[in-house]
Amino acid sequence: MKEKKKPNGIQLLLRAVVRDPDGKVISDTGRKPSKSFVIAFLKFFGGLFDGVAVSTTDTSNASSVIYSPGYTNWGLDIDGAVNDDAHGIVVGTGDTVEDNEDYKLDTQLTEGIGAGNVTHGAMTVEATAVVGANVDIETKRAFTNNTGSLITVKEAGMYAAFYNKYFCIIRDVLEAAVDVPDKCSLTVYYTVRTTV
Amino acid sequence: MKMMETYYRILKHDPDGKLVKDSGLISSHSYVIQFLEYLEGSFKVVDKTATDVDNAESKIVDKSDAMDAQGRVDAAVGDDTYGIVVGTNAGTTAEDNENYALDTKIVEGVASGELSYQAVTFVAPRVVGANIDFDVTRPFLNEHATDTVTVKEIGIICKNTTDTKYHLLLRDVVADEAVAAGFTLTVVYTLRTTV
Repeated sequence: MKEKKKPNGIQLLLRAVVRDPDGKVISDTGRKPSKSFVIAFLKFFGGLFDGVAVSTTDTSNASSVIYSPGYTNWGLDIDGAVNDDAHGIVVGTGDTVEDNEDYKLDTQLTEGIGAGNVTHGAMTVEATAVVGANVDIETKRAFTNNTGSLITVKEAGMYAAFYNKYFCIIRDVLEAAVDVPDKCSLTVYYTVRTTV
Repeated sequence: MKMMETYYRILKHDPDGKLVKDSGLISSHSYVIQFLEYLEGSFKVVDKTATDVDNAESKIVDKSDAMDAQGRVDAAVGDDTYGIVVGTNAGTTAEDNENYALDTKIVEGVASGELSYQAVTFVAPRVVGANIDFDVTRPFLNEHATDTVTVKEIGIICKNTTDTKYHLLLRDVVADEAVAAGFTLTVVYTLRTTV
């Protein structure tokens, strides 16, 4: 029998669940492999491992420090609060193909209730846990459509904050667009997984 | 499946500096739980403990520390406490998600069974073809006059400098690598992202 190939690094899984206003599930993509850590993620670790300042392109397309040795109370902060569209899991309507050097979503849905908006819930970052043969961190965020119109989400990602600057560390174009009717919610889950 | 791929590569040079072996890139599949525990603490900017190499719980993220007091891998010459480390895996311990130390680390030195740890060096994340690569490298020199040292496990340990605690991030059991007297073994870890 052919041996199952072991994963050789850090896996990233993406799931998108749409619920109606009563919480009933309308659609669920299930966990799909995400392929799109982008350069800023490794830039952070390049600085961390070496203890030297590192800059990269932030979400405003400016070069900013993603790691600096002397700062305290910072990390790869994705813990966005309610209504915060600057960091945490983010979603958008663009479908430009992913690139290693993406620094933002193509067309992010920003916080609000008008066209081009979505209402951001608070981020949840679950504790690291052994789950069967794996070790997982599950992160999730709910988005509510209060715009009065259908939203079609085509991309998702994760923005991290470091010293009041924001960096895209993950960007994925969804395998299939996800429709979020008015008053319905979309919950996006990113699971970071290691397996020996 | 794409992900943050990780590879190791083992090079061996004879006493004249001639390359006598290059393993090429080999898949590493052995991030251990402490890596994700670091990531969790960093994601939330909260204190986070993890099992250290002494099998005790200690802070892998201390948010009150300066950033350069945690997650350091840049060990200097002669320092076998962190950075890339190598071992003999005398107990033949298999890789496990919850490994917290090498089975049997080879210590720094010039005596039989020891290796001289050189400094850890980095090649910063950059575009390499279709990928983004970040390389971490460390040579190990066998300075004993006659005896061979056989490496059977490798890994990466990070240092929390404030508390002087060490946490294993990666551990790979590797094919036996005999390092004869005067030879140098070099381990290169490549962290790679590809969209």
